[in-house]
Amino acid sequence: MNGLSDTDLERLLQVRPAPRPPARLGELIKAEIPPHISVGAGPAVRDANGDDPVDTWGLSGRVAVLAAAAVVVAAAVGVLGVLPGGTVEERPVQRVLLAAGEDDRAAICVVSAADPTAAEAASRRLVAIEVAVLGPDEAPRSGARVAVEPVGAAGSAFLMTTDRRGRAQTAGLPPGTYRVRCTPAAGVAAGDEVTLQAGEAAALLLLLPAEAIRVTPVA
Amino acid sequence: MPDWGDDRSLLAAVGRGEEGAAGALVDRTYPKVFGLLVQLTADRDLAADLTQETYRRAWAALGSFDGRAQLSTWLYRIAYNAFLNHVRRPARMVPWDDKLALTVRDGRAGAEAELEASEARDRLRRAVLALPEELRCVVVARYWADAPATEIAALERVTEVAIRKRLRRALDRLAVAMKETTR
Repeated sequence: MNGLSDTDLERLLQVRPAPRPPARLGELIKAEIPPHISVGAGPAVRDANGDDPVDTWGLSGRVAVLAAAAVVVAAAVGVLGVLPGGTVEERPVQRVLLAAGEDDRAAICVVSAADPTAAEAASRRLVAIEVAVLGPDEAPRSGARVAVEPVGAAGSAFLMTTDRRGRAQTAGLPPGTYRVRCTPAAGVAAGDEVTLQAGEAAALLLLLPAEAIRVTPVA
Repeated sequence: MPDWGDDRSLLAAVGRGEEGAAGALVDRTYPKVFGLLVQLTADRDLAADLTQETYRRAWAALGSFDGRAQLSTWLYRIAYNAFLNHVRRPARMVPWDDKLALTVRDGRAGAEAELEASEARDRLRRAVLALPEELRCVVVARYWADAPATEIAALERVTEVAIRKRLRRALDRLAVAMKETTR
């Protein structure tokens, strides 16, 4: 199957077996209908998409992550100072190697806690990125390096490693476009790019296309 | 049971608390939601779980549905988010199996062609999942949820032209991916 045309691709995407739902699925769903449902104008559709609150990086979550990150930064390199209330400042943290021949400095934004109200307003302008890395078998990949680097902005990047659930996350970044790249311990890298406005959070799914083939020598 | 007409009328009936309206909304939409989730997960049991989860979220968010998008497009977005949240919880991940994709192996006339088409759809599904998020969500909405470009543009808060450009880029990438997987 070489050189699929648009028509071929669209036919493959659209012409699919119509799966028949399990027999009692409709009844199970109906059984969970709340007794009182109201419909009316409200926030924008995007805000009503039913995201899991745990995964939507609410303000309190971002502030908590920022606070934790600030402590880590302070302990690691001693750059944390008391900033004027509510201002956001990007601080270099350490140099990290992103790829052969390319190095850059990791950075994180530190929000002052001197004025909680102003600091909260400032933190609301920051953005967060959460990444889930899956292998070709769609199982999570732990220990994969994930680099988050700004596109078209001054060169600073953030380097993370996925946890046992294949997840990595960062917060406290300035709004902008970020290139997210994952380099697994073995295999082919995957990447994505995301543009975030002030206060937004992104959840990216990176599916690694293939993994290195291990060859066992014959004795 | 009364006929509530189009989706907007049905939603209004749900809002007024009319008996049976919410159930009718489920009857009208859940096969399509289930079908989308089967496409995304390739697992009927998991898709059924996520379909239930989609409606739990929908009931919770229904009060803020402002009617700017069609009901089906709005449900698609909730279902897609439920899928993304699922894959971000790898403990619940189930291994891939081919019981869904490969259902015809009986040697009848045409079975070979059907098997080949099933395998192509399987490869294409994986290629769609491997797309960057910006392109993947547009492909899923357009082809698997049958959402019109205008609706997707409203959901993504971009122009319809931008959506068509993303579809163009996505199809180019899918063509390359399909070519590579058949080498």
